[in-house]
Amino acid sequence: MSRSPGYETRRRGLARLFSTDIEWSRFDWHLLTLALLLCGAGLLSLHAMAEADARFDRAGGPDFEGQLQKLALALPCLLAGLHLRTGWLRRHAWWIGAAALLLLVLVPIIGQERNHARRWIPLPIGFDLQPSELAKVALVVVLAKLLYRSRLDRARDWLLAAAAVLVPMVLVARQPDLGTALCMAPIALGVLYLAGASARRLGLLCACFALLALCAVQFEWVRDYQLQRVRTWLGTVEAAPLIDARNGAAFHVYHARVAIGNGGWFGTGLGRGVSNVAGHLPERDCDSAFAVLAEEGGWFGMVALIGGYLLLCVGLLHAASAQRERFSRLVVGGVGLYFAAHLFIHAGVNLGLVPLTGLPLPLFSTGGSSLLASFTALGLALGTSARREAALDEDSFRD
Amino acid sequence: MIGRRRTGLPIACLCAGALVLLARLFQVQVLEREVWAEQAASLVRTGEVVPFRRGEIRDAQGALLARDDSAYELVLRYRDFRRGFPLGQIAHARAALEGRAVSLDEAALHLESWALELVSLSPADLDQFGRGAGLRLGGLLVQPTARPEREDRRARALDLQFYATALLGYDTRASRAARKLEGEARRKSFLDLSVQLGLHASPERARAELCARAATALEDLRSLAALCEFDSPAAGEPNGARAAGDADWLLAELELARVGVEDLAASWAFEQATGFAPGRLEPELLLALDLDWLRTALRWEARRLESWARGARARWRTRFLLGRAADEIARACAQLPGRNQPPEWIADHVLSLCASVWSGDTDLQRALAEDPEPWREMRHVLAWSHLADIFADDAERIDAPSAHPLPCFDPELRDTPLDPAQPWALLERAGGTSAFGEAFTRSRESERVAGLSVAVRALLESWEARLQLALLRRIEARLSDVEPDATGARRLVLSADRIRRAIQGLPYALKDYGSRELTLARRPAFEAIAMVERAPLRLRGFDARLESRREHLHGVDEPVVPAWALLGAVARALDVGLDVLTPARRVRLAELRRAPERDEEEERELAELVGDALLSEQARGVAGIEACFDPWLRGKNGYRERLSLEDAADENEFVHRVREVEHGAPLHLTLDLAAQRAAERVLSVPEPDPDERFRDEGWLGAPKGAIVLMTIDGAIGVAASGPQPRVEPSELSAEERARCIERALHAPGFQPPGSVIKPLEAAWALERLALDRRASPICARQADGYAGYKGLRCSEAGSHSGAIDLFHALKYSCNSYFAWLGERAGAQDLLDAWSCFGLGSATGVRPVGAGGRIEDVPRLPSLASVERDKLRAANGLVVLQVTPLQLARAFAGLASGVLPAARLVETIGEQPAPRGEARALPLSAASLDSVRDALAAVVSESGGTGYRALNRAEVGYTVAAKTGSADLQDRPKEGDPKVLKHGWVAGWLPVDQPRVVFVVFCAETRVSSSHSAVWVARQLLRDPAIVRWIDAQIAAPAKAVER
Repeated sequence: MSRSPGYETRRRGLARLFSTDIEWSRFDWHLLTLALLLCGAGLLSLHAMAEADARFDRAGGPDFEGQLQKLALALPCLLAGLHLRTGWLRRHAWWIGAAALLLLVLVPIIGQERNHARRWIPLPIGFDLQPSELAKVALVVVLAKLLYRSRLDRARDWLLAAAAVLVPMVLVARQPDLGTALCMAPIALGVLYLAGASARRLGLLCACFALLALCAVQFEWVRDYQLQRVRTWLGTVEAAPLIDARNGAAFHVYHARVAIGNGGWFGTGLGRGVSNVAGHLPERDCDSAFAVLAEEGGWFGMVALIGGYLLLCVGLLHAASAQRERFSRLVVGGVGLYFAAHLFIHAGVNLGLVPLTGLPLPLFSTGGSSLLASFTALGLALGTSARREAALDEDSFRD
Repeated sequence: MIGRRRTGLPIACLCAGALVLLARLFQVQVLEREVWAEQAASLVRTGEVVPFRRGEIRDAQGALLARDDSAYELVLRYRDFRRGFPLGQIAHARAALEGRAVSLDEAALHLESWALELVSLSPADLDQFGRGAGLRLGGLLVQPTARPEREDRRARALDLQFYATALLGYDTRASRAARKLEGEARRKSFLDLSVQLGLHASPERARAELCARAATALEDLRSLAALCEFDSPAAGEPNGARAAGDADWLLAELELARVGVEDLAASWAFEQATGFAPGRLEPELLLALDLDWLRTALRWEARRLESWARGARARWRTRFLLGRAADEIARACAQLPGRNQPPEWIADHVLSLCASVWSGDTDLQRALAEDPEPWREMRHVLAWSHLADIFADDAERIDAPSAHPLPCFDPELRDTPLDPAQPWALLERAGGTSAFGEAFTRSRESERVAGLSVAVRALLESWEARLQLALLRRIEARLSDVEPDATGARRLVLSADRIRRAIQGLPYALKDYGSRELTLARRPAFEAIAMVERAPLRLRGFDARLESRREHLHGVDEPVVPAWALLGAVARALDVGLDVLTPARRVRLAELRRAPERDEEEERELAELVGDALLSEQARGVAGIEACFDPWLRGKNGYRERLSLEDAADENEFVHRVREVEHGAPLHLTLDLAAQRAAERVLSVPEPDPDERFRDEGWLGAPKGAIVLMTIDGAIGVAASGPQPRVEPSELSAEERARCIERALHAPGFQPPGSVIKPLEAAWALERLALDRRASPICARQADGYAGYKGLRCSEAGSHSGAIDLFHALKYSCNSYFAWLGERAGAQDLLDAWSCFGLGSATGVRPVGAGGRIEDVPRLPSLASVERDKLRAANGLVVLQVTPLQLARAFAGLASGVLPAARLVETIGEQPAPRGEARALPLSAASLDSVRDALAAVVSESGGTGYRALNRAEVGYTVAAKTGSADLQDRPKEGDPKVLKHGWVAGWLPVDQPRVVFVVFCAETRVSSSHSAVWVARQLLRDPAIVRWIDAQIAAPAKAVER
């Protein structure tokens, strides 16, 4: 029997946040399993990388033990997300958003600079937090809150939604981390669509974004290195120009493409790809994890990986569609779109379909903040989906 | 379900997106797999050539004449020097600071002060500098700028940070920590930070250590210079400061190395931006382009840019256009007559070869290896065709005018058909000269190449001059429409994309060229090697490399190697320009090396190609024995592949041996070193005729000639030539080189044998023409007082006259008798006689399978030319030419009845060297004996032309010989007392059992052989080393001449 909303005010402490009243029979075990399998595959790949480094006596490469430690930190976040009360989430969405924004604002103040980018806040537990990762999850929650009551009928609704998206985007872009910032766009667009925005208007919005991007490139509104990445991408979609440019700005793209292309149908086998043996591919545990797996798993391996991610995203969207309560639906759907956006951008970068940007593959790549955010998001989605809270909003009564 | 319709579209989009990803994966992983697998293989697998050692060359006694000798060289890697040696660090840091090139000399003068100034900078200073802020450092003020990207400030700031931390000895941990510093910490100087990071105890200590490092660096350079003998061509052009122990010289070499690296990188970047090498434009035209981007990137001043432009042009012209290209085209042209095509076809082909110079380096290589693209179809000219595409906008696009720069574009010329009646007319219309036609009519290839080299150079120069003029007109026409820039100069701006591409790659080009090794000194003192190897971190950039070089050995008192011209020379494959592999095979080799997987067949093919290929620094014989026997001396490189990982845990696990190395086989020559030296000494100081009236003092002062000593079965014991160089051949001038050539196996000029040919004709006539040896034509006194026959002068009046038979004709060398014989015999018989004794044929000294050319083989004259002057032809004058070795072989045949195959090499490795076939002469013993008896009388009976010098009492042996003098002029030139002639004596010993054949040739003397060659022969046969050799041959068991 569902309880009256007033009941929650009588809870104390953690019970106000967390509940154990998950309907385990409705729990999407298959999605959790899929996610854990993807995470396991990531660990296997990382382990092979670490072994390859040890074999060839290379220092400074992927840290398998470190990733296990980060996983140990992230798993509780999964559990926390699972048990987080949807109502609490909904009521405190603004606080969550504000907290994410605060972290983003703190980055230029107390954050750590690496390679001319300031994106991390060092924590005393020996772990550097990247607030932009958490901001993506927070964006989903904030948008869900914003659009929970709104039907996007009025311009004000759109403006509020735009503000909710653009503010964190701008803060992230200024770090600079344009890739992560742009990743928020498809998530936001997807959530808006789920919330009822017309496809035509969203299409118009996409066209505006595209025009904006074009102008940014043409009039050099972005930074030099970002512009260079775009130009490099435009010039190296095909194999021959990419090979010619391999010793210049296209170094990373070249090695990613070599790794992927070398995989063939069946791959080279775990740990035996050139990306691991030669070690030239930058960020192979994080931004280029897709390329490493493509080489070692081959085309069929990638079918499995993409299929797995697709199933996860589709599963979450399907779970979202089964939600009667609008906020829950938008959260679950938003998380599905979160994973989808990461998959397509990460894979697209490695395949040369989009300009180079550093974006991890959730659950698979290394990165403590990414793991934290991914597991939190997953927990939120699965937990929300399993609760099926009653709602009186209009959607609940629609056929 | 509720809301499902809203998830339908996103799910559909996801699925579509997934399909796109899979399709792209399919494209990359399946359709392009081969491309990427090849790239992957090249990343992982490194092929390593295991170089062979070239075979040794030893004389008949086993004395070493030539070997590959490994010796250390002092090499420089400029990039390591720049990044790791204090002088390099400080010079380049200062250059980054000031935005101009700072020479090493200048840096050496301010080393300490600049080092201290550099490390007094802080990370915050550099951050601001990178953003365009000004900087004051000591007495230097760097002005701020509103356009930091124009001054490349960011890159300069990064460079400064690198050099500052490198100078202070920051390790990886310290560098990383320095990068992570925030706030106030970034305002600390690098010096103070080094203390904070624990690298130094205190700032004072850090300063002291830095100053000590700077001082030590200069001291190390002085010490290194003192230990090296800089007596070989080194890293750059020779410079006036060169001297052993001169630190200034070393600094100059380092500076040249730096200039060289920057020049190469600049040329590379220019070619990236424009599509053609900078040397293809005159400097004035090159500098009409806006090259500020290049100047800024390399921190050059305007003068430096000009110097690069001039240097690039000079190098392209001298090394490529008038050097390699001209030489290779001339060589290729020289072989065209061998293709049996009419002259007009040859002219057309020559035009195509020359035209390929302007279509590209690859096209030229292909044209030389295969057939060139027809010049009539040429569409594209480097530099000229690029002018339409490389500029910033259409306003600067230079449209091609209707007039074309090169003759091969002239429509009228293109439509001119080949005309058999005027085969060279087309070439001459295109700018060639009549020298082409003349060169192609020469029968000897060496002369043809020499003539064609001159003609090709003239043609290439004329075309290049026309092209530059046309380019000048085009560019000037466009420049007149261009607005002057801030400095008032009018320049054409390249397109931004092209510049960007060039600049992106420039750091990698600098890194690449800077990483190449340059030789500073060959065979430096052991202490220098030890210094470099013991302190590699202190002497960063310097290294010792073990290099294998070909060494031709000579004794302590000998200035040069005996038989140096005969031994020949080697050259690096790089210097020779062409490799043993054709371009197609080289491409195939590269493909196989890159292939990710190879089957057995491909492995075998790879092994074979690697074995045949040469590394660029490996030697290849280019002259003499080194060239002729190169296929045996050369060996085959080995090849192994390994994972390209320096720190592989178990090396053996990662090495795959494709092919084992095969070292070159050693050669044992038939030459006797001691005898060879003795013969060369004889030729360098020949004994004159005791009668002063018959001396050619001119010749005796500068003797020129050859000596051959050969066993009866063809083993050459001595093949000496004079003059010999008195210094190392590499130090000879071109003129001296042209004099000190090999003459025993060659006929460098017109070389008729004269009377020495008579015995051969006599034997032939006795056998084939049924000559009655008692027949006695008259050697009558002529109107001019000389005896003679039908206008052909015989000897001076008094030696003999009247009726003379064969025996006496040979003894006294009667020209009249042989003129009579020639008249009776006919031209064809003369030719047959000469041919019978091997004249006009190779001697066999170049075996089957040999490379290179080791001897000249003068062709027999044509029947018509012999017919025209039979009387003189029969006396070995005017039409016939021989080499000393051919004559030696002929006389060996005369002595033994079997014409041997001459040989220089006895064994190759453990195996006998391949030999030509000896053949029995188709002459009876009776005929040969008649001639032999007469030749014995030449030296044993009074009145014989060789009697005074070569009788037994004089030389200790019974000798049979024939003298011969061959006039080179009809009458003496004004001022010369006598006619120029060659003097010969050829014979054998001992008379009864011939074991040794000798030939002495005195070239271009003014006295007859009786007064020149015979006395040299006497001196030779009395020399102790020669006597020892002869006695050894006589004592050795008689060998039947192998047929």
